[in-house]
Amino acid sequence: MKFDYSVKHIPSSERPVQRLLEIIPGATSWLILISLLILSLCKPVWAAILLIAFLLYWILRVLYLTLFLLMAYVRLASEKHTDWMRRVRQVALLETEADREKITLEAGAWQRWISERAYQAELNRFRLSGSKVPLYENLLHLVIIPVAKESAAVLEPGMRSLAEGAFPSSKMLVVIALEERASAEVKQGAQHMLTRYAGHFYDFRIVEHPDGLAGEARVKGANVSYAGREMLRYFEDKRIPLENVIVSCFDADTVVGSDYFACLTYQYLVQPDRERCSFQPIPVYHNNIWQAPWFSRILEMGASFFQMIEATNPEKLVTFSSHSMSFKALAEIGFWPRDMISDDSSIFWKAYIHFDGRYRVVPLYVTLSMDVVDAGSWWKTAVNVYKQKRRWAWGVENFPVVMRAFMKSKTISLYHQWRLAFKLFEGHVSWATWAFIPAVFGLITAFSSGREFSRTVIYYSAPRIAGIIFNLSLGALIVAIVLSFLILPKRKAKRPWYKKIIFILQWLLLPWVFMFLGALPALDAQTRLMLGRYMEFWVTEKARKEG
Amino acid sequence: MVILRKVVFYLFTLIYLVTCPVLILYALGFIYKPGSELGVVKTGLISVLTVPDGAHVYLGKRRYTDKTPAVVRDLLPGPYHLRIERKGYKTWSQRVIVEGEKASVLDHILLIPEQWNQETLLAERFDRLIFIPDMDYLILGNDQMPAALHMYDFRRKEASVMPEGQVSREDEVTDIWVGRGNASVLIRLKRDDMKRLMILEPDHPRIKTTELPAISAKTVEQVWFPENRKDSAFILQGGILSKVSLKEIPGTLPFFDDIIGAGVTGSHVYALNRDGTLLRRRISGGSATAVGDPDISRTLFSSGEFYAITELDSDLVLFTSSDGELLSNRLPYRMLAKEVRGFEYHKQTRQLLVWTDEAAGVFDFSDRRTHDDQLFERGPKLTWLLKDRHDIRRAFWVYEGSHVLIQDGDNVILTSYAQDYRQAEPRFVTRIREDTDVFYSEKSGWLYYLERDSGYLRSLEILPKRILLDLTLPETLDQPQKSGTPS
Repeated sequence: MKFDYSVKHIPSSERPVQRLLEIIPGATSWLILISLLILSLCKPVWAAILLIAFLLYWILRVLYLTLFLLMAYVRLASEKHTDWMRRVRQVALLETEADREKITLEAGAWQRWISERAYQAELNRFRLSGSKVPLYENLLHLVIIPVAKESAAVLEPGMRSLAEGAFPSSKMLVVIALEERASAEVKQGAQHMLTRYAGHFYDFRIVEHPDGLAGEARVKGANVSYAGREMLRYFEDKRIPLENVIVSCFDADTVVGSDYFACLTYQYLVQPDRERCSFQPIPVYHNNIWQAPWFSRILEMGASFFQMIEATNPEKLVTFSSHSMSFKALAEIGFWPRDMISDDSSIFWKAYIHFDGRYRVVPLYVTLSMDVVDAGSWWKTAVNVYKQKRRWAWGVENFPVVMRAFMKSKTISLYHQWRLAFKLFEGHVSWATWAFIPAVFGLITAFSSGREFSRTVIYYSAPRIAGIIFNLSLGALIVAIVLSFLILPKRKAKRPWYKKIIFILQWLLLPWVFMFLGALPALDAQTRLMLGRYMEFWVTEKARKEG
Repeated sequence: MVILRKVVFYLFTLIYLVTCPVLILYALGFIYKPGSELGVVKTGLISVLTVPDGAHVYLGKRRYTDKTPAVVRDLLPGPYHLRIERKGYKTWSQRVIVEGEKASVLDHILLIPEQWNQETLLAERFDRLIFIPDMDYLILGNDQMPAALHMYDFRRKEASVMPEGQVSREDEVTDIWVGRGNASVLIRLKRDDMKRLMILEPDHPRIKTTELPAISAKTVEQVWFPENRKDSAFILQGGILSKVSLKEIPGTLPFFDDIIGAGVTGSHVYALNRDGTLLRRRISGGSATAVGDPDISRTLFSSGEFYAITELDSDLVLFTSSDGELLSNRLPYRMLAKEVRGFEYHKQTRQLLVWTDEAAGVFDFSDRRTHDDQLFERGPKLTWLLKDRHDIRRAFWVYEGSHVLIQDGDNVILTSYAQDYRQAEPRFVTRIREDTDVFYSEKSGWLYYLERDSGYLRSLEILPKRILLDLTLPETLDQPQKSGTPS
């Protein structure tokens, strides 16, 4: 379907609809919070009934998500020692009946058993599709790293991880998408990376994105799109077939695991519709986890867990942060939106709409690590975290665009439209309201003391039920604490015991952190969109400390 | 994984759809009763909070495991005999009606100890006790040397005495005037035919005294001290209200003349003119402004008596005449026609406690309900707490306006004023020295009185310390009770 996935280039006839759709998420969130507040004051019994219904829904959802978080972790742990390169090589054996018998499964502990069963299932699925396996030797990985303010110190670990991975770096083409407006120091840093790492890769390029190109906003998507277009010319010049190129768009601080490209290559090979897929790894924020303030850690852990849970639901999975996809598909859809901040999720929606719903995200059970926000002082970090989360929550800008596209689409089934639109809408509204709802309801008892409501049974039973539910949620919290330890990388240097204790205790402040640095920025973003105060991209400060 | 996710999703949805209505019904008070009373039944609960806590709760013969504060749930509607027992305290019992979906809240049960906790504060004979509202001082005197007053700080437990040579055995104290939240005390001394005025201020170990020679001691009829201000007082002499400077060179400044009523708050002075006009003027000066409707004022203040004006709340002003008439600016205006001896206002609950010689009752200004069968607003009605007494001299609110401590002659009694569970019989607390007053401080939780035979200053614990921690909320302490007596 031909659709200009943009927030700026909208036909004038569609502008009122776009505006209305921009208002809906923020208005819904505010309506929920204000109506609950009014209900608490005017009809506290009804408010208490709603609170119980909400809390029950909340705890069931928490338990449901915890269950899948555990499953995702088991899957992640089971793939930890997988030899992805062995699988990459074995996939070629699927071509002939005789060769297929040469494919062997590794024996081992339960983790290996799970991993190998999943492998077997993937191969069977691919074989039944009747698709041809491309030669992995022909594949080329294009890695685009946007740089605006990031120094060489931020880029260096990522570069090293690309060069030292299990997948041959000679099949990787690294592009630093550098903003023209970047400082001389930043440009020098990029140049330093080129000098130092060019020899490791198939090619290493710096593409400078000119400022103020027509039709662009000052967003990351414009920068990486420009680099993408430049590389399209490069591939055409070199006569490299686009279907052989897998593009990965990474944040500047992204450090890939050694298996990332091997796993990505394998998954790319075994997807029959590989040019209609994005590949989503599990983002973790471990680069500076021990240096960053506790609230920053909690939130980023939460983001990792969220992505792990999402990975168990590929039907509704949407790309987030650093991810990969077919370059051919990317070129076909016209690269990333150049006027949207949430380029990471927008690219999925753009592809989904362009390919009439025949586009999906494949979860990768490997991690890539990024920086936790750390701006030096606590206060500055808190401000940075707030702004970063607001930028993430600005992903709500996709809602009006996706809805407009769905309204016009004749090929995407209504079922799929509603399913995905509801998830997009509900996800953002929940993000902005959930953490506030218990607090708003908490006011019921405060407001109602001494009033008629305090003479009802529900006045006494609602806090008791809420207490039981919150106690139950401690189970989920314990799982989160344990998993947060388990997914941490093994450290070379031992950390003092008190740091570990703080690492556990920090989780007790989760409700407040989620309220002020999770829900509030989301509500802020939705309110801005509702009022038409559009945001521009803002680069999160990420400091690197030695040690 | 996708299939598993779907299965789990539908399972959780089913759990929610089944559990949610059950949980909501339970929260509202519905339970499933097996046995002979089959089916879903509506229940209520009883919430019990006692002071002190940790008391056993009995319903009928059944003792509940939870000690107070306790909530007894899942009770079928009907009457229950509730009994509260705690070692060292008298058993508290009450018939409580439980209604379906409703909570019977008994949140101000004050347990009476078998033996009151008492303390002798000053082992010296006294025949007179006067308290200063909202201050930590008591003024004590004795008949042997009436002018040798003591000012006792009950928080610090230390007494200040009159400096030597200031008063003699021949001096008689004819009047003592005190003001709310003001430690200054004005006394009128008489020796033979000579009268003089003296300001007393506590200053341990000696009271600081200041003579007021510029003011004619004979003609002073009434004195007011502005709340929390030490620099001035207002005196009434022959229908003229004057401001007296206490800090600079003592002198008087006429404020209002030809008045038949007056009152002083922390910031304003009220005066009632003979023609019925009610005026208000800032303590610092400025012009007077008329407040209220002159027609209503003329109708109300027609008795010819002098009215003491007390501002109880931002919207509630009381007028008490010298013959005990009680009027207010709120409906029903004329609260009681005569014989009111005093009142005590509890700002937090907006309850006004009033008493005559024989009875004590409460006007509840928080109750703004209109009755469907009444076209005209009637204002709060008087609910009598005690009747058929002989000499009610003083009453105090206790425990957030839930109880009332009453001095009836030389007996002190305690009665509850919790609307839903008023105890039938008031409890005797102690007997005090004849013709003396008592003082109860909600801040300390203690009653101060003179012991019947010895005349010693004693204190008796009414509210245990633990509850006082809760009471030290700004709402309670910053919004003091206001009391008064007819002028």
